[in-house]
Amino acid sequence: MNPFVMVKADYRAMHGSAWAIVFLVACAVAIGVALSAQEKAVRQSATYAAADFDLVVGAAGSATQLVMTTIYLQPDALPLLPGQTLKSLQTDPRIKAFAPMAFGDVVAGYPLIGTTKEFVTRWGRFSAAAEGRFFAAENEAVIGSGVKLQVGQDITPAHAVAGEQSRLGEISPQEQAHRHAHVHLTIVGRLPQTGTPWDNAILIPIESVWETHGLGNGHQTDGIIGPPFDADDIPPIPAFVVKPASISHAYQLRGDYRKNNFMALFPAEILVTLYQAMGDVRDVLLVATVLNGVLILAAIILLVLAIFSLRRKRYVVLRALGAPALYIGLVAWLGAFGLIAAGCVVGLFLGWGLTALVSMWLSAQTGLALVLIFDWLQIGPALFMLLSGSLFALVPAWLSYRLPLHEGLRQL
Amino acid sequence: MSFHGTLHSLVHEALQPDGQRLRILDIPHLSFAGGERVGISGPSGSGKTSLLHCLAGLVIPDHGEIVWDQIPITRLEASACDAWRLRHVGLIFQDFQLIPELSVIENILLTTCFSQWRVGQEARLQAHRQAEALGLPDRDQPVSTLSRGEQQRVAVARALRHNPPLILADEPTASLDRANADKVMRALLAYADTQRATLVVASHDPAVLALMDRVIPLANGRVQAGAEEAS
Repeated sequence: MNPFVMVKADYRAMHGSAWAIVFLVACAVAIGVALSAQEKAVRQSATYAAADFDLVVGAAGSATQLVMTTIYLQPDALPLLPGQTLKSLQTDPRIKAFAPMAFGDVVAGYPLIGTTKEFVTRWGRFSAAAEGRFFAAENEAVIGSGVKLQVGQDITPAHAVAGEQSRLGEISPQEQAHRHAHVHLTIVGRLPQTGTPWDNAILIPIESVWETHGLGNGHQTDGIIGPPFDADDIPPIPAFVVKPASISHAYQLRGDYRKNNFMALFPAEILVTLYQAMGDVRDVLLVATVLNGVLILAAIILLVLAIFSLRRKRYVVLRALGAPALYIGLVAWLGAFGLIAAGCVVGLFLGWGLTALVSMWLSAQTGLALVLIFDWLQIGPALFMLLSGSLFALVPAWLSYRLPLHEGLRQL
Repeated sequence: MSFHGTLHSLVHEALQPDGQRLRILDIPHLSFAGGERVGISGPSGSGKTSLLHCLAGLVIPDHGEIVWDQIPITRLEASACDAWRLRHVGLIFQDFQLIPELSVIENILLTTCFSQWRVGQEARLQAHRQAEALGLPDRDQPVSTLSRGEQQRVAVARALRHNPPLILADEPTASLDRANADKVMRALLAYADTQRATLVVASHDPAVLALMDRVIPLANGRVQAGAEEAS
């Protein structure tokens, strides 16, 4: 039995209407896939971006803001912790490593962050800079892989204006107006890519940030950078990233630094809430997509019924010539299956392409490198459409059986 | 090959648009000898096509029995009847009923695809020979581009594809010019002669009917009085 001869003939007879089915199915599948893949990519990339931030300590306030500012570098004025915190952290045996984080300045729209070499090397994960070297003195800076400045270039930071979202790589009039004109930093290296917003950041020793703002350098002697910080009066700090020595220590530290105007949290705590919100938004979108899908499915079914009803005369002729029911059923089903399957394949690629485009745009906006995830679950709705749509093509074939053959030959 | 048939007490009614049932066939008895050429004549609406469809098993009559070569086709299940038709009947329609998007050779071999995945070399060669014998030069041309005469010859080649012992032709020449009508009829008669196949042709063309061994005249679904005995 070879139904493909008739399927081929049917496609030739359908002309443009066959493409209409392929197009409709492709649109429906693409929208579903793009939505699901995008949400997964954002979730995965956000989790990945938080990987180097075991425990974040800040002053009591908005936990979400602490995470958004520290990990995702969303600009906001965080309440400050007293400088003495630094001293207690550096003597705490439960801590394997820690890094202070000072935000608030920008260079050419890129956030400037004061920290220590430990964090610049991502706790030793980066053995060397991608270009040049890590900073080794005050007034030296390293740039993230995405920063469009050159190693060796001199830069002057500016005070970021609260609520002002600067465009990366562009010097805004506000930045021009709020420059720390007396400060000159030299870019000495470029960091390897992390796939996080930190790729668009400029990192300098925290001492430089303090000096810029006339707060000293946290050391009793000049010219030293990094721990230990031994000055009597250490300037206030917006946040710390802490690497606890063990999991139990992590929980102890989290408990201890939740008292007395402190706030300590694992980024996952906030991410879970965010994902929940994202999940809720996704659910709403999913419902919309499902409704959209149902409408499109209905349109496809109508189109399939209409197109394959035109083939009823053919089914009657085939039967008159002695074709078995299985043959006619296969011709109808394979015909519709082929069209819907073509639509699904086009739709899957279209959906993934759409996701890649949106991801590129989101990456440019946030610095999060979005990894596209192809998941069998994304293919599920496409398969459902394939099976249900093609089964409906059997209706006209079945109806041609309900009609007595000689009446079919006369009427159709 | 001797494929004989009998028909007993055939009654078939059709539902009219006004809800009335109209008796379209009422034939007490008919018989077809193996290898016989039988014409069915009569004006439009006399029941020629309905009788032919009954003989082909395309319609189960309301009453009566049709037996071909000892098989009572009126008692067969629809699927069994379809299978019987594929093996035993070559059907030719007035309006050809070809698949316009397929080529000449694909149309001829279509019924082979009902049972086989691949058409064998031998079957393909045979189909080409049949097409050649019917004067169809370009066998890869889509049938939609052929003249009506050529299309009917493709339909004849398709009907004869499995060497059926019974040929049922419904007005095979009605839409053809004389020359093409002659070609078609010559092909059918040649086949019937060489294969000793039974040929039943419904037609109102006297030239076609003159080629038959006998003619059954129909009027209002009934065989006209004395005709069966007279032939």
